[in-house]
Amino acid sequence: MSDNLSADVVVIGSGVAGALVASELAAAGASVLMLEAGPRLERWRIVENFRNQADKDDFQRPYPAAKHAPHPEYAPDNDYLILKGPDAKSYASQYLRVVGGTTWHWAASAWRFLPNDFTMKSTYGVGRDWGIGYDELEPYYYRAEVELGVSGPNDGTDLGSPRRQPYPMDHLLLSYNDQRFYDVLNANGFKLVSEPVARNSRPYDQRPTCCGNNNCMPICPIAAMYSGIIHVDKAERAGTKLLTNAVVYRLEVDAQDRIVAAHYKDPDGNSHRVTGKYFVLAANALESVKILLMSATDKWKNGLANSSDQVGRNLMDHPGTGVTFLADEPLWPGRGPMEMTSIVDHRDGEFRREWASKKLHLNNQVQTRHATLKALSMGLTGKALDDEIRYRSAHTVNINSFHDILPEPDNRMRLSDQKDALGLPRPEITYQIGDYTKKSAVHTHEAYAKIAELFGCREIEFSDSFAPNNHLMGSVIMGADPRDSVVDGQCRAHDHANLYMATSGVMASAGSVNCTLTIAALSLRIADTLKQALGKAS
Amino acid sequence: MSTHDRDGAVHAGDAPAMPTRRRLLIGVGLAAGSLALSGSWGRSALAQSAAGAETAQSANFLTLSHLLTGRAQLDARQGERLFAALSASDKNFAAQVTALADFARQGSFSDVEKLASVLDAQRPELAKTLRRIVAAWYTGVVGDGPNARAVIAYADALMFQPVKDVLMPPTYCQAAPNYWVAKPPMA
Repeated sequence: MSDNLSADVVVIGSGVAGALVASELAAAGASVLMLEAGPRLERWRIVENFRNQADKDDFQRPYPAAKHAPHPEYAPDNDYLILKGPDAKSYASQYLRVVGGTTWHWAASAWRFLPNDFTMKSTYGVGRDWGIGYDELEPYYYRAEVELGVSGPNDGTDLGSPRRQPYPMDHLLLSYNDQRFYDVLNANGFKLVSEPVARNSRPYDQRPTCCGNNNCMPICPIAAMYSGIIHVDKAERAGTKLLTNAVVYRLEVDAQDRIVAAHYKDPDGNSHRVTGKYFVLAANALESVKILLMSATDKWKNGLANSSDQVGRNLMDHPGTGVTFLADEPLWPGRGPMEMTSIVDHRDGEFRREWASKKLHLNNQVQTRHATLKALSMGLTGKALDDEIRYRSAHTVNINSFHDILPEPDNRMRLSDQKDALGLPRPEITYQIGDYTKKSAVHTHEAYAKIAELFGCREIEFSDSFAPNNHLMGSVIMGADPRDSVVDGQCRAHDHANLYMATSGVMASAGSVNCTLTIAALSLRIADTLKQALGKAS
Repeated sequence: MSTHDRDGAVHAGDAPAMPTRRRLLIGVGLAAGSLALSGSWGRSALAQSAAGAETAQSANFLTLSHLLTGRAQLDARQGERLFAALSASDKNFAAQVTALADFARQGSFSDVEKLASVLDAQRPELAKTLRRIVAAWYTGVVGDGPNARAVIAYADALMFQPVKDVLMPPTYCQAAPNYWVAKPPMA
């Protein structure tokens, strides 16, 4: 059916990265073919799936994994990711193989990295340098903010990432919960800020203002929050041809080491081949690695783009800890979007030589359900039950964190011997969290205790074991030296002149903030590079 | 394929089958509910003459549920679904409902907290059933872990009621943007 399709640019993956590349290039007049392993899901269907599911904490559940393109499911566990190593459970990541990708469910936090995040080795003597600096990326950060629709504090708040333009939208007014935290924490030595988010504070890009449906994860019912699907739609309107349920399992390379074709399987297992001038691998940090490793040839025994042996290594995330307690005043989390503020006093500084930077964030998620489960577990009934639900819904505080982690070659993904339904290998991950991160988590624990004290806490519960935060980085790491990195500063494979990688896998440091805006900025830069190469630059 | 489609119990609620019987059940439920309010436990002659023993049990369940949840208004169709799901997960459930209703009637209980504390002391197995029923109405979910099923229409779960003046069930919005700025109730 789709055999012999050909395009200027073949984009593999339809998440925020692939969709941005495709929409930019198609709008510039290039022919673009986008291949997505999973199916198309409609927003209304996802919302109904969520409303009808029993476990409302399972953000993967509204997106049932396709048999031919499984993604991780944990309740029950479908064992798609094979996790090994001392901290295996801390890499039990969530991502989606569906049209639009994983930004269907995210908190929409749209942070820029800090200048020092790009130069960890030369500034602090740990980790790696990216080979590019913040200044090179700054114009693309802004373009990404315009494309995604980012609202942020235009009141002069310094978030440490210098900017030339104001945020495209001013930030939403803080919820009462967030405002109380703002007042109390900033008066007591913490730095709590209104965070930049890809969420509308006014009608923007034909999408409505956030109405506080409080369901950013797992699905914004009204598209006030940005998702990759927005640019999938734009890409298709601009002429991109999107093939769904097309599971790429091999890139074909010629004698000059150029990629000439992508081979994919349909759900019935039949193989198809598409060709192009340029290839953009945008299938997320793990699935992109899978494709490179599955494409091994006699010449490229360790997989494509892998002369450095770094493909699949240096896996990073933001190991998270948390705390939950009851405040002595009603704060009523759950009014407004799920997250509005962050504590940023340890994102940068000389301490990064010794321990990990981090960001803490106040959860503004509705607590009704958790309050009810707790009240029921206490055996309450009648008026006492209703009173307890109301009290806990009003007084529960939950704070979580992202910690930096250093890129370590032994934290890696390989192809497992175990196969999925199409006979393709499943990702096997080995993961260990080092002392650099653990030291910081001890400090975070103390910060939680201080904050709890400021709110006269009862029933404090620390979650000190590291939780995954699904920010998959490092697997196709960027660097100036082809001997120890996979892509160059343009996200181009050192080994293949026409292969680009639009994924958080290229990120050479994890920093302390969500990686989506950086992926978006890098993807827009790839689009510019390819426009030049194709003679389509305006 | 969706969660909704996979869950027979959930999906059944959307099936267009047997509208006559459903209308009847709703009528029975309301009638039974009003009986409950007047404290006439178990005298659901209307239900028995209308649709047989199974329906009578379901109606008894609804009547009992009015007491256990402290609510005069409960949706009869949701009650029917809960009863079916709880019965499917425990073959003794229907008998326990009868025993619980009898116990409540004999003691003339009008307050669930009082009933629960007496059962805790005298009939712990019935206390457990009582709390299962309360949990089902409040969370809308029956079963545990992978067997858990959402049975009650999401926003109708009773847990949302004690906070309905302040919080909305997630996914819904019934106020204007920035409603969240105003100071919420301090109790």
